[in-house]
Amino acid sequence: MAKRVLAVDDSATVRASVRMVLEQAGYEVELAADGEDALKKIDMAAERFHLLITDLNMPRLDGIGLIRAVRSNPAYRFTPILMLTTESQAEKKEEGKRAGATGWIVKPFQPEQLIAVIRKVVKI
Amino acid sequence: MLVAIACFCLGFVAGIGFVLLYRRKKHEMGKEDTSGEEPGAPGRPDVATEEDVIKVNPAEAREFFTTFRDALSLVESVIGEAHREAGEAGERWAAAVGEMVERANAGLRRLQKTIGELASGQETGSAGLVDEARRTARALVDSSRSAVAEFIASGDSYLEMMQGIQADRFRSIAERIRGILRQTNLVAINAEIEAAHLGEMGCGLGVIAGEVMKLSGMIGDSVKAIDETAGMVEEKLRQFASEISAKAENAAHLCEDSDRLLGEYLAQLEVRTGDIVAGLKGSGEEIDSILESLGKIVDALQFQDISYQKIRNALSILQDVRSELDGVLDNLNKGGMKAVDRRLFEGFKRKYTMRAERLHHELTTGQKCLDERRVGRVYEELGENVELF
Repeated sequence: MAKRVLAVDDSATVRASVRMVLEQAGYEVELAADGEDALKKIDMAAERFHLLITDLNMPRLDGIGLIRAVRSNPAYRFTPILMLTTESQAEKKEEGKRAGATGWIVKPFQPEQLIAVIRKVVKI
Repeated sequence: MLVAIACFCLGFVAGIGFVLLYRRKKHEMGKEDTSGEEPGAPGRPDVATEEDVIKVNPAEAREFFTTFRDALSLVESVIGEAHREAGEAGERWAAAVGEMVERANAGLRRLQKTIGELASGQETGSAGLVDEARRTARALVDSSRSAVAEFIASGDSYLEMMQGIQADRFRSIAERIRGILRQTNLVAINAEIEAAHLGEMGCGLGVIAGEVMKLSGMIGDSVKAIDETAGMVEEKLRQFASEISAKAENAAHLCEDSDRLLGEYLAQLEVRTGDIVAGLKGSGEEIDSILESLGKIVDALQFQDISYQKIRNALSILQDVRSELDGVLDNLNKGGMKAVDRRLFEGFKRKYTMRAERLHHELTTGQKCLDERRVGRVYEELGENVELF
């Protein structure tokens, strides 16, 4: 069964990119436009997501806020969460790490690279 | 064009600063001739070294900052509009790309399934299945062709929008800024200063003009950098779009070739089913090559996102500076303020410098990303932009 991924980004073009790359690689992809939207998708999902990919800077609820909220849900305590952002400052990464992020990818990404990272963090 | 606007603003402020400094110098020389006081003696309007307060005529300062703020607001409104349009155009483009890939994928899946069944030999010779394969392949060809056309059209409109941001939009805004500056009636300000014989008030305004001139210079540098980056990103996008358009055109030709090939094989239906299967496989592989351009499409979409973010960052900085100017005006308006604390200007400068540094960082990282061609680079292992905790 295909692994389920929730990709969260306020940019439509990034959402489209991630969706194309992941679907091409055989993942089942759900999209959300910001942290709050993502939390709704998580609550409403019939099945648990195997991976979350999120941007950092988003309206309403940002990536760090989303990770904190997700980690407080026992079902998602160990679910890998990747940050996919243009931010590359060490302090931001540290904040993401403390919040519970699994990894940090600085945009722009290479499709093969994104898939390689996902395969590393999502156990098959 | 942004550079022209920046130069115009800079020239305007520099002109005022020059006039004021010239008048001040003339005034000082006149005082020296008549009073015989030593330079820097008590009573001399040397606010820069002797006082922590700059004395100004509130009405003149207000007009000065209002003009500056209005010019900035205009640029902000245009960039804001460009930001909104870039977002909408990006969404349309992304939707067109998504649609193109989704249709091609769906068609391919169906075609591959049918080909697999035909190739398995269990259904060899089944006219129904061959018909299904033909319908699927033709639907795929038609669908891909229309999706590619939509993609090309949306890409063109996006590029037109980007060109518009760089040309007409800013040309018209420059005209509007000139109009505002005319309204502020600079001649009247100079006349007032002349009438006041450039005492302490004139001196204070001269200092303010100097400070604003510096700020204007910094804004000018930032605007120039934004302009250069926008041009660079636009050029990169144009290259990608051109490349992808060529691929999409090629894909459309491949679809047509596949259609023709399929037709030829189907015409030989009575001859050999094996050939039909081989032909369908060939068509599938050719159409599959369309999706090989996925990496390029993803690159182009990400560059669109980078340019969108650069516009958003520039807008955010302009909003910050305008907000600071609003604060200055608010302070001037409160109780007919007759003195503006130097710290206000220094705070303003400090904040703006931070914004300018942030902008510089944004532009530098964007430039680095483009220079190193990180997009499309082959990474060893996971790449330098990945960190797993």
